Amino acid sequence: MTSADCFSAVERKVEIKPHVPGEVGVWVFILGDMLIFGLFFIVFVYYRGLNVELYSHSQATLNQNYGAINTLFLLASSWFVAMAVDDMRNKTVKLAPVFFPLAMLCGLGFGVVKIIEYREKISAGITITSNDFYMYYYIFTGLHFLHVLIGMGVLVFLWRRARFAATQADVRDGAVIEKDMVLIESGASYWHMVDLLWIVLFPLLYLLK
Amino acid sequence: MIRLLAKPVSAVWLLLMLATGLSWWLGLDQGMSSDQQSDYRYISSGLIIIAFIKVRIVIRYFMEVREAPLALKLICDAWLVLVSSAIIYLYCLGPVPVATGG
Repeated sequence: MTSADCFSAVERKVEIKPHVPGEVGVWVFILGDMLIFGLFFIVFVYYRGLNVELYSHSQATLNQNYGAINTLFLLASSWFVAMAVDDMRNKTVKLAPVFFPLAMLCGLGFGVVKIIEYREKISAGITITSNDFYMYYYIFTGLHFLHVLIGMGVLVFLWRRARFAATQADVRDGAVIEKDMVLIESGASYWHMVDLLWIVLFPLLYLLK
Repeated sequence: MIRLLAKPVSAVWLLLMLATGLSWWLGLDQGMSSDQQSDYRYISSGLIIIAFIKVRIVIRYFMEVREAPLALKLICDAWLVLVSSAIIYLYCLGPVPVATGG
């Protein structure tokens, strides 16, 4: 590779300077959401301490495999999104139009497992009013599931931008993509936060003894 | 594909998957006798610590906060420290599953 080639390879990549990944407004929302869920986690552990026996007995009816498989689904999905964002920075945009749908497929897998789990619980007569543990279980996982559904919408949007970017890669040396990166990073950060919240919910609800 | 797997994000992703496997295994009822149940306290504290290490990796590498200004790094780390220490403190305050030393 000649030095000229090296130079052009560097030129093709969107420069990364220290910056907030995505819109600052989106990060305010992300941090607010993390704060609220942080309080949820603390409230749950506090009330658990007041009635450990009830919480342990109720937890024993949960299927840990569902919780773990869903963690793996979200982690895999986050990896696809991270790789897609990296690909878009390269301005050549080859992988992103494929990786965003794969991330959505993992999100869909999460949803299917969640619905199977809810169906099992409800058909066994376990509902939000059964006891305090199940109240928290349904509220926390339900709110998180809502975040997953919103995230799926965000991923559809990112996919559309990636497909558009792929057609624009050679137009004005990828300037269009550079402009889009703030949106792409905002959406990706939101999706990673959905993953992050589940990483804490999984041990709290399914594993804590 | 090999080029993708060689990226730092892929390496930490593999670590996250392995850590999830470890938590999954630790969380299973491993046929402990009732005398050993107080060990759950250590296992559970470990599970919480593993979870928050995973969260920090997600924040740093996936959410790219390691490239972010110092203020955002500090806010994220403050959240991590406050929430994880509150959880561990409240968890350890709870009654011991089986009385020990008696």
